[in-house]
Amino acid sequence: MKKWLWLACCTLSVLGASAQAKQQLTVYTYQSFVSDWGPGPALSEAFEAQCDCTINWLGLDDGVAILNRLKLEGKRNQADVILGLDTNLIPETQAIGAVQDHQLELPKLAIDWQDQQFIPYDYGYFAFIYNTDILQDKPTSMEQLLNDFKGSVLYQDPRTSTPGQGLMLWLKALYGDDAAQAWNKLQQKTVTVTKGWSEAYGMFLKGEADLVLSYTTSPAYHMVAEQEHRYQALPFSEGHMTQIEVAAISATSQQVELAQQFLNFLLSAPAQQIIATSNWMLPVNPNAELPAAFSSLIQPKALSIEQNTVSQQRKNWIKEWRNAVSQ
Amino acid sequence: MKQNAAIAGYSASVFLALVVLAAFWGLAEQTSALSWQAFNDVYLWRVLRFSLWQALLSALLACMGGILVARAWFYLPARAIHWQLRLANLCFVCPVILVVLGCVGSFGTNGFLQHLSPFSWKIYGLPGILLAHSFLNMPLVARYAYLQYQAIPASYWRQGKQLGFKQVHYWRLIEWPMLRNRIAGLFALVLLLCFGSFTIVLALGGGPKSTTLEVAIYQALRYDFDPLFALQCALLQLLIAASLGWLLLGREQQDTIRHQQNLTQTPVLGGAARLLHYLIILAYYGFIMSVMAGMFSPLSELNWRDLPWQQWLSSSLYSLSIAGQSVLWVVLLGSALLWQYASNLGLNKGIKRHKGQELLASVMLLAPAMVITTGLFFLLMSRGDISRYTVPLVALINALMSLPFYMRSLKPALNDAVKQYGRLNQSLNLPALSQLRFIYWPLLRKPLSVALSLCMVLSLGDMGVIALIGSVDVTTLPLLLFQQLSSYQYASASATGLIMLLLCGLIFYLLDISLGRHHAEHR
Repeated sequence: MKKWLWLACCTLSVLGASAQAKQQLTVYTYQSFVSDWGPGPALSEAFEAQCDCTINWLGLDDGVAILNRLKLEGKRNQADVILGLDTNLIPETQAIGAVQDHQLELPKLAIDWQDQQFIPYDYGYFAFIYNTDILQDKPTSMEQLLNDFKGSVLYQDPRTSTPGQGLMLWLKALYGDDAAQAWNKLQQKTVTVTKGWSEAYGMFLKGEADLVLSYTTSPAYHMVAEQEHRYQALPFSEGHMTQIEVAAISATSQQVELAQQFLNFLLSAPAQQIIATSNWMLPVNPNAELPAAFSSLIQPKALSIEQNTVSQQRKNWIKEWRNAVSQ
Repeated sequence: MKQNAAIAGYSASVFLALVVLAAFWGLAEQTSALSWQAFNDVYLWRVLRFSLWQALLSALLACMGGILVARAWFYLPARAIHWQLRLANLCFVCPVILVVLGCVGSFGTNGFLQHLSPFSWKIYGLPGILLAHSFLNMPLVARYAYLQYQAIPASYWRQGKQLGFKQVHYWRLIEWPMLRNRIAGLFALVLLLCFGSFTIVLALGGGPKSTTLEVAIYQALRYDFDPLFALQCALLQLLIAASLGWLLLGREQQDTIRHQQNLTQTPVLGGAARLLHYLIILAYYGFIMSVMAGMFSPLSELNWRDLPWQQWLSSSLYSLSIAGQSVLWVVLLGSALLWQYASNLGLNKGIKRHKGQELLASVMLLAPAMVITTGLFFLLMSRGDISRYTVPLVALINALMSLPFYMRSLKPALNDAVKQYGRLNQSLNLPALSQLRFIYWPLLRKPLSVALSLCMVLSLGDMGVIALIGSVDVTTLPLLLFQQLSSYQYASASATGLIMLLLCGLIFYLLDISLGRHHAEHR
């Protein structure tokens, strides 16, 4: 008995890794993209039908976390495709040499696009989502949210999450040098700051806060998937920050052709439909068919900050946020 | 013999020192400019303030609560006290992530306590951190303080009675003087543990407002990729933890042979005081039980048809292989250090030097695990494929983390054994191996099995190191649980927790039947 025990312990201790199967395409992305209800599984199925490969998704906390991971791993990252950064992070990602040219002829897209390394795969506008059954006094502008709103707010960490970073840019665009005060006011109403979008949205659905930072397209999910009209986005009179989510081929990829094939596939109408109706963002391919619910979404005035300004200032703005909310 | 022991002990110490140096070398390589200017950072000092504040509060809560509970145990007729002490031990070794799960499941917004009570509260931030820390440390203090109470000579109580002492007098003249010194060391230990607490603060913190140095290190690396800030936090953490440890860990008295009292007598209480003690016990168990219930209350919502078997299997195997490797390290290093300690005991020398080694053995209490991990990670990252080293690296760091506990659980027993039989051995001139086999082994096998189980369970339940290194494909059970918790799959998280608990129980049981049996009853 004893000998058997020690044997068992020793064998467990020296367990090795398992062998590899057919061609694998490793994609770094964010968690909600590959969750059971996200586009990952359906995209895998559709793409694996046309290639002799398997997609190996690696879901990190959120968009900015992907960039942090690339910085941390340097040239040793295992990614073939990097999917889930947004345009604000493009200069920084290019600066560390993490991606290579895609060399693709892009089809006509819903947005104006020039970049040689990244391709857009969806876009949307940040917005606060609320439950119409519960929340009576709704803020109609960021100004009202910060000053008069009595309820509670959930948002994501700008250091790990692209929505969190979006809120940071949003406040910066509206308040400039007074952003720190705006953060201070928001801090009074904040339940917690989560690492990624999924945690915050999950908490909101559990009823832990009145508002959650998400996208104008989020209500479409509830309307289409759950026939639920309770959750709606708050239109703000100042306008809403835009986000374009992008994908690129990793500089370290050994399977560039397969990666190119995957990027092409991402822009195809079927894949764009899957992304729109499971990542719940607007498709960049104008031919993608959308459920009727998308036409009932709010059409905001778009705000944005030039991406080079963002890449130069991001660290300082994050420090500003950090110092304001840690008081 | 003496020489061999010294060689072994010093080799282990040198190895430990090398690991620490390597880690700091790795960090230093990453940072080009560390200047005084860099320390002029509001956020850094706020993080430091919060780290100390929450550790101090946690330690105070744990010690005050623990002493109250110990008093109640002592003054009331002891019912199944043996089991109560066992339970207290269990709380302390309970994997931290499970405690987080329990706190969220019972005190959280959707926990059953909030459903039962008319009030609502938030546990994210300081309250949650204090709750979880109290669950881990209060029982430890209670158990320890109770054992101290047991050691008070019966004559004291008799004299107190003759002099007509009231509760206040007993406390002021008998209990507190006896507890004071002993609790100071424990207070320091709890303070250190809470100061370096990672998982709890990460999971229950809630933003930059409640971040500790250890979590800030993790965030600096995983969120902003800011090695400089990580290094600053690491240096501060090291400075404070090491000085705390230096001041307090060395203050323990050299153990005399602990003798069991065969006659304990407790003062008779009035009705009001008894009621108060009963209430304290009730509150204590109310708290402990609700956290424990919180761990498994979400199981009722589990979808039994769709269970993540594949994830469970792979993460269990990873966890077990890490725990197994880590125990091998602990045995190797710990035994070498203990051997040297034992051979010095007879000589009554080298106490000063020993203090330094003791500190080194407790390196992971002092140097934040995050720092060591990060440093080694950097060191390896620039020299090879890190993902190949994930398991051994995590195992080694976990071993260093559980080394202090291994040493602490074996030292008293070793001390007793050497004090009782050392002279006899010398006069019999037994060969070393026979000494070990016939004299020390039977005395040490029981504490050894407990210590090994502890180390295994510690590394099985540790999440910090793997969270930081976390390569693509290595997910351990605690990490899986954390991921499930943060994506609100409470039911699956509970099931994962159950698997973890069963594994821990199995480890204790197997080690107990293989190592711990046939021991003479020896206290």
